Amino acid sequence: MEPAAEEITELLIAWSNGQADALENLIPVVYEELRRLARRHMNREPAGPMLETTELIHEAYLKLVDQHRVRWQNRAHFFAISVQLMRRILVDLARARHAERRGGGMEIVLLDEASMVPRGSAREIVAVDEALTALAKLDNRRSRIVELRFFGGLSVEETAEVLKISTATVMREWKRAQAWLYSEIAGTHPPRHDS
Amino acid sequence: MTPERYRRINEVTDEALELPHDRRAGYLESACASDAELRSAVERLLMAHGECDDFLARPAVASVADAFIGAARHPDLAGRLIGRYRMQHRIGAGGHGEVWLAEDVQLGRPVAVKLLSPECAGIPGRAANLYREARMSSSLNHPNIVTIYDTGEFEGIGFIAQEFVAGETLRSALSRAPMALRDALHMLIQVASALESAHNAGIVHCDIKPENVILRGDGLVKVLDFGLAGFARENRGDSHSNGAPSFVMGTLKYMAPEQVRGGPADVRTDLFSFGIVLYEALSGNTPFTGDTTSEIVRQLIESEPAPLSRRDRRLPRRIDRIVERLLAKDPDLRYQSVAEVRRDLLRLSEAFDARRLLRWLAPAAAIAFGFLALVAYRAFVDAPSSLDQIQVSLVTPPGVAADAAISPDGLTIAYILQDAGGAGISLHRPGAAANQQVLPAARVNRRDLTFAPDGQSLYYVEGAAYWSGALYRIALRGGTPVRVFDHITGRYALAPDGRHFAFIRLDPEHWAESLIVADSDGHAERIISTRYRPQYYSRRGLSWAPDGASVACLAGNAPSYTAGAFQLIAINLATGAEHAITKRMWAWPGSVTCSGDGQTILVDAAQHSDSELQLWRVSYRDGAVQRITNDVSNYQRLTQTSDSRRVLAVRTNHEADLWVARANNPAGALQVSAGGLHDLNSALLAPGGRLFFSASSGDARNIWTMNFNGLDRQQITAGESSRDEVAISRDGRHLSYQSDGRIWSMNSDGSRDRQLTNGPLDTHPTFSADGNWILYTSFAGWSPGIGGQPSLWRIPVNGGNPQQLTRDANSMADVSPDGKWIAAAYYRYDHPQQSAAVAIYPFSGGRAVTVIERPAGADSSVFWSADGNAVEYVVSTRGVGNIWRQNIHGGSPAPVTDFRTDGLFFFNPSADRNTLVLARGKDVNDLVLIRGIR
Repeated sequence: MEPAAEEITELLIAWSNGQADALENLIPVVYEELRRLARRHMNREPAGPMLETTELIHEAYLKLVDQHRVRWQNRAHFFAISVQLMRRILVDLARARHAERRGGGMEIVLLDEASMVPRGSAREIVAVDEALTALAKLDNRRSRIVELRFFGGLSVEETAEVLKISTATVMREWKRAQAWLYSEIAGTHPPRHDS
Repeated sequence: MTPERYRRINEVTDEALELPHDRRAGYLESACASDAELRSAVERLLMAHGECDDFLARPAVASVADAFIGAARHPDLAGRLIGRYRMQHRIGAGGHGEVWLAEDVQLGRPVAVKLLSPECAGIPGRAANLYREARMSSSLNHPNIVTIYDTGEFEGIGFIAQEFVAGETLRSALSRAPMALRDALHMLIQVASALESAHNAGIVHCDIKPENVILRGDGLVKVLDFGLAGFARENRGDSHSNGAPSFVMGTLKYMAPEQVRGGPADVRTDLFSFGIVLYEALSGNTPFTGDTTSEIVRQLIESEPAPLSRRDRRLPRRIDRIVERLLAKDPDLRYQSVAEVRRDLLRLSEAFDARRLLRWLAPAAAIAFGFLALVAYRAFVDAPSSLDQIQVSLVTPPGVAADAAISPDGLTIAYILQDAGGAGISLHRPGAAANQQVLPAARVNRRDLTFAPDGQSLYYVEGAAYWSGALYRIALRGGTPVRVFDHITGRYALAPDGRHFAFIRLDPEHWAESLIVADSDGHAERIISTRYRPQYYSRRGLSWAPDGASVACLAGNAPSYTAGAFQLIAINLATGAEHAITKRMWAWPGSVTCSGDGQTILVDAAQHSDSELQLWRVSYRDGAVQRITNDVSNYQRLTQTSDSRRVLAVRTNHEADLWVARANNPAGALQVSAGGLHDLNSALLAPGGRLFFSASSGDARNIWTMNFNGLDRQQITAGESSRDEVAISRDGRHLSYQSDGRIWSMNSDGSRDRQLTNGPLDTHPTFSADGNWILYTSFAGWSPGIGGQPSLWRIPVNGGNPQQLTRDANSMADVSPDGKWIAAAYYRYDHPQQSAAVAIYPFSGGRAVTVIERPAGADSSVFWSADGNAVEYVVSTRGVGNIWRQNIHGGSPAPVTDFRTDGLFFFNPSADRNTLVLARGKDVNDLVLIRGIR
């Protein structure tokens, strides 16, 4: 187990028990771990096998979290928690990439990290996050589906398993949620053109 | 939007989606009826269904994770030609892209090619950054900066071709072990040189870190990657205009606080990062560490790094000063240019340059020359663990403030700004953009700033003399100062109600000191209590207890020559009764300040008469004393906030280095010690090249000896009271020194140590040319706390009856090379302001044959020149000391050294008069804020 794993486990437990501030401490640790993982992959021989992106994220979590200590109710619970966390991380990165200078609170986003997010997707990620937050108040199930699929990179089957609904429902709801978000974003944001 | 509305929009949309396209309009007509808003929402949603196919198809996590990995995902380029560069293998990768070793096929030389990562390549800003980097770096031509050869584009991938440096990064070197001081200095001076050149060209690096420093095998250092640089010469406040404004640039552990805050970066930002690299190079760790980003940031913004010399006792204290100035949170408190820090590093490193010294010392000393490790004489006792949280931070740049006070609420610091224009009063408010002037500079002596209890006005003393003057009050917002009291000697204390003040007044006629209380308008003066010498009250500090009933001050028996006798007492203002707050005694008193709750008193005082003024906390209740600081600085003029969370002090550092010079060429002096000489009192070269010196051995100064190469160091006395003013006979067989106001002598191997004189105050021994006599200064009628008149005496080296040589007021004798004459300082009390003259006497004593005036700023001590035709002494002008020579037969005195900086504390000719040993250095005042005492 990596040295950070213990800390992360504690924080994850705290967070899943409803301590919102644990997330603040969790995010930087996860950044670091992701960077470390990515570096490790980068340093492999150029011809070496590459992991799929979602596998990379999952590997990060598996490494980060002491599975024996966090009593995940099940695999679904693990994904649900992880994906929420991932959403926060992604949106923070994207926001830093996208946003104008923010006044007030000091947020640390390193250039190296923020520049990883292509500018176009950064805007999209931020916009989706905002629209999704609004959608959650109206239609929790659809927002969960989008969160798992878009921010977590989960497949339709995995999403169905986490939410305990059929794959057909996931597909139908996913499509509708997508359209809804698209129309919301198109209504409030200018058409998508990478700047 | 209400849930009902949302449901309704979705119902209508779902229904419409079930219908063929041509029937949807009719359906909407009926379903939405007159609700135009509903219809428009549904139409937009329907359109989205048609358009949104690829929207969200690629998970956000994939975009980001791709980028994490993708930075490295250039196709395998080995063997391929990019421009005129044939790729060989990848030598590095980072957030910006990859670096490949390649061969320039036209010139046949190796180059490093930096490729912009494909993920970033599509982002116009990234390429622009890359080219900006290239443009900037290529405008720099400096041996310590990696040269940029070329830029170009290959299949849409931007690249830079640059000098290939065969070596390893500083990061890689540090991953094995921290660097030795000498190696680190060698590296850092080169990095500083690169930065200096870039800064002069208006370019700030913005990302100084060990990864960007390459060490070549032959010792040459190259600085890489001006990739994040912004042009410093552009508007300082807008230096981010070239970069992406919303990002924090650089690498967190090496960032300056202003960079982390997203503020403007300038040359001083680089200096901070440079300080982190220096710290890491010497200790192996960056000073601000933490497991999380937020912890690192917290430390970066709030914490002061642990002094390097505490982490590694072999490191000189001077490194701590350099680090402190590099890592000051406020850019204004840092070095203001790389040139300044480079100069300080050079001074440190010159001492290590063995070759120069070997050349100079010629064959006799051609032994392996280490360096004069005179560093270790520090009486360090580790601070108690409860004080580990003590943080000391700079408030003003060094050398600026002579005196200061903190307001009761801690929001304002008032200080006296001493510069060429005189002394003015300014206010510093942490966080405020600029300091505010309260009183413009004037050529008068101003001191003893004190805040009124309400924090709205300031008191200060102004006068021509150092110790006396008139008390003034001025409002913080400025205006005309009000003269409160005409004649005040020493310090004063304001009552908690602000309506009275107390001070100690010396009556020189009767050698009496009185505690006096007066109204704040200076009236209704009354004497509370009086002490007569040798009992007395210290005039260096007193503080009113918060209940207003008593005053605390340091008092006691005036010191004998070296022993300490000061105690912290409270004087009851109603009765004049005194009681000791603690049994603890100090040798030398400083200032006193009571905490707002009256529970504790902070004192600055020296444990021994020749040790530093350190901070002590005394419990009012039980007299328990805790030492707060444990270093070799002097802390003076303490003030504290009413909650006692912050204490302000004027900190003075006395730094001395040893230099050696040939007597016939003092201007060619060379530095031989590397800083941190602690408590050095005298040093001289004996025949055969051994050095004798007196320096701290812990609680007292003792006499040490070592070879000139710094080896074979031995402590040859081990007295509990100091032994200093060491002198040596010309044949090198005998030493003489003073201790407790008596003259002692011993063989130079430390044997036959014996007391020769009985005081009460005998000092400054020196030998006759034949080595049979010891000449010294004796203070007749000397009385503790009052003084006496000095004159010259002599005593046989093996003991016997002292004989008085002169009846003038003389001290500091030196015997001419031919042994026939004595030169000595000659004091005339009718001109106390004037420098002591030099008087020359026959060796047998009597009347002076010549009295030679000396220029202003001349030191009392005097030595014969090697040829016996002139005398030499130190003259200090504006803090810079040089050796001057004056022919005893006439003519004007003239400097023989050309030092442009630093004081010259003393010099001593060697026993054979061919070599001089000089102690040079300076006293630097800092304002420091101390937190965490309670």
